[in-house]
Amino acid sequence: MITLLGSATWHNGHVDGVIRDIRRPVPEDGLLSGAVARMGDSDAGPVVAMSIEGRIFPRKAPVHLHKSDSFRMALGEPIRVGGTSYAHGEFRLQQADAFYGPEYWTDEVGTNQLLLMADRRGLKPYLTDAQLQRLADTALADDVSLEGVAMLPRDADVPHAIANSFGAAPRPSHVDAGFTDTTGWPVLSDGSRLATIALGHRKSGVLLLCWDRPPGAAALPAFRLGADLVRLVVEGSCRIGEPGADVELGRLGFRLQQEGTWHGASRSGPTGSKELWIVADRRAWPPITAAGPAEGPLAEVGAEVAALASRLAAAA
Amino acid sequence: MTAGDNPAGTAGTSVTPKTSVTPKTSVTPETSVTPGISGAAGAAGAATTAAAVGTVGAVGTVGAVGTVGAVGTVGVIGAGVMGAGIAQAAAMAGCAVVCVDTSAAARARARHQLVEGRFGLRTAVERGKLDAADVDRVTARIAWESELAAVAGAAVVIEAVPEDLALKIRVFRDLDRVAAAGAVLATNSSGFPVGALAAATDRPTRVLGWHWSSPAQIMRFAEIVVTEQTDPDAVETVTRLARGLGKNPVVVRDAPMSWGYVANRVYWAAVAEARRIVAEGISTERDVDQLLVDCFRWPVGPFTMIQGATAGWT
Ligand SMILES: NC(=O)c1ccc[n+]([C@@H]2O[C@H](COP(=O)([O-])OP(=O)(O)OC[C@H]3O[C@@H](n4cnc5c(N)ncnc54)[C@H](O)[C@@H]3O)[C@@H](O)[C@H]2O)c1
Repeated sequence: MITLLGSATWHNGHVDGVIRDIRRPVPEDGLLSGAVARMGDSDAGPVVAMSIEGRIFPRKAPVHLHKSDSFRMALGEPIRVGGTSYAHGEFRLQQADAFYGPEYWTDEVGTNQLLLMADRRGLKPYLTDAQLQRLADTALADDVSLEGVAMLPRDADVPHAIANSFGAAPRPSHVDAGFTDTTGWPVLSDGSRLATIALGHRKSGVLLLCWDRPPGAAALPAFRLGADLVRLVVEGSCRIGEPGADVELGRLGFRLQQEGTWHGASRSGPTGSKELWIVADRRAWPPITAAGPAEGPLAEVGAEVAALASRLAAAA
Repeated sequence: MTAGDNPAGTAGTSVTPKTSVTPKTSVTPETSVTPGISGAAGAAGAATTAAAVGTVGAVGTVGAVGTVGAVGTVGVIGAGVMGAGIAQAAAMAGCAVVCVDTSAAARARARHQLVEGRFGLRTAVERGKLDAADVDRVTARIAWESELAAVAGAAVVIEAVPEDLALKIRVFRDLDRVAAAGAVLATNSSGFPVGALAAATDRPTRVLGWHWSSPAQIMRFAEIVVTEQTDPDAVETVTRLARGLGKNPVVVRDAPMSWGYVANRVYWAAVAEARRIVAEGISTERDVDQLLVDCFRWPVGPFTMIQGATAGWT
């Protein structure tokens, strides 16, 4: 189940939003302007934050590690991790238990990043400096807004693994890739390109689907998935069918969809769409449609996911 | 993604701008000198004397008598673009070198490049900077090894594995176990806080940064990064060695919350501003480059520099 840090009104199992620069006035249009959400398993499911503020160390984070695999993607403005700069749509997969940083989140408060911790028990940062560690621990303990949403007192101790379907070269402890260059991603029968990524628990961890859907790509039918889903438009737009009126998600628009609820049929906009889908538990894929088991692109995704899963099993 | 001063897989071809943009003055960003053309105080030049007398102590231009020899064996971890260059620089200055790389292919490549590479010993011979007979002598000073334990006898170990913090921390942990008790452990990281690496060891006082630029055999750049804990004696050992290798060491303080020490922080700040200027439509990449070349006598502007550092110089 998706639990939001802030309040929101859910309709038919979903809520829509758009990641907006909260340094500027935000229109009162009923849309969320970002989200911090717990997904999936109530103990060990992922946490996703789509509006980062420099909570503990404004603007920068020192070298640290988490006991969970993580994923971060620059949105709008660039972010930096160590000596690597990530432009909008570029992302970094970071292995659990591996130090990285320092991190820089924009010049200002840093509303420009999607951060996903595959297992929320791994959220706590471990620093290399005892003084900074005390500061971080105190700040986290004091942050009542995180209580029950993002933190548990114990650390994750699970077999984590990161794998991808598009041959992104693993660095010693991380993988860099992005929506900026999708040419190496497998092509589906409707011309879409798709990158499939597994992170977190070897069996029940997170599934990321990175879509590059051209304008003419086939519409996706309405579907129901047995896991929580976050769908974020990185570039372009997509239109999702609703009983009343269709909803259009533009650049940085997102949908949070509760597990087991129906997600409307959808089609990419006139310039296509590049989208990130976060599935809380990859065992739930594929979804079902009104006509039964998914066909077309959704079924093709199933084959990619199965291939990833068996690679992970073989490597275990 | 834009990486720091180690553009993956491209370094080695990335350091030599056209001769037409080689500066006549001393404003020299880390990847800008045209070796052998600009007259940089390169290791190849120094090596003639060093190799001829068999000890760096006799090389008046690169250090006081006996300084480098006194430091002892130099360990280098990683035989990639930087590690191989560092090993060559130390060997040319008369040091015994143990260079460790886990990859047999990297060791073979480094061994080949040492003699035949663009900045290798053969080139130095062709340019009249090294006697042909000395090629073997310098070559023999470097032992190429696969196991970290091979640096157990080194007085200074310079780590030059890829720019991945977790990997470097692992290497420092392992080095701490195998290196001699008083040995100095230096990182050639492009900018990771040295304190994070020192914290991985039981000898934080012997850990510091020694940031080189490419080609390591040629460039005089030596950014020595010290933490609050670094032992002055370790700094002294490394700066003396650096001078002995013909480098120009400058000691700076570690900054735990930043990446890039001094040189890369300033350089990347300039790049970021240049990008903002172009994004705001104030000027073009070409014109920004031209202005900086003309105004500050930079060898190349920031955009040409990025292009050269990532795709190689044409
Ligand atoms: N290339 C440049 O221009 C430049 C300039 C200054 C600093 N640096 C820094 O120097 C370091 C090395 O960069 P590079 O360009 O030489 O990289 P490289 O990839 O060319 O070489 C790294 C070498 O390390 C070896 N290696 C990996 N793991 C190892 C281990 N555990 N033990 C021993 N060897 C191992 C690899 O096999 C490889 O040969 C990086 O930190 C980089 O940021 C690079």
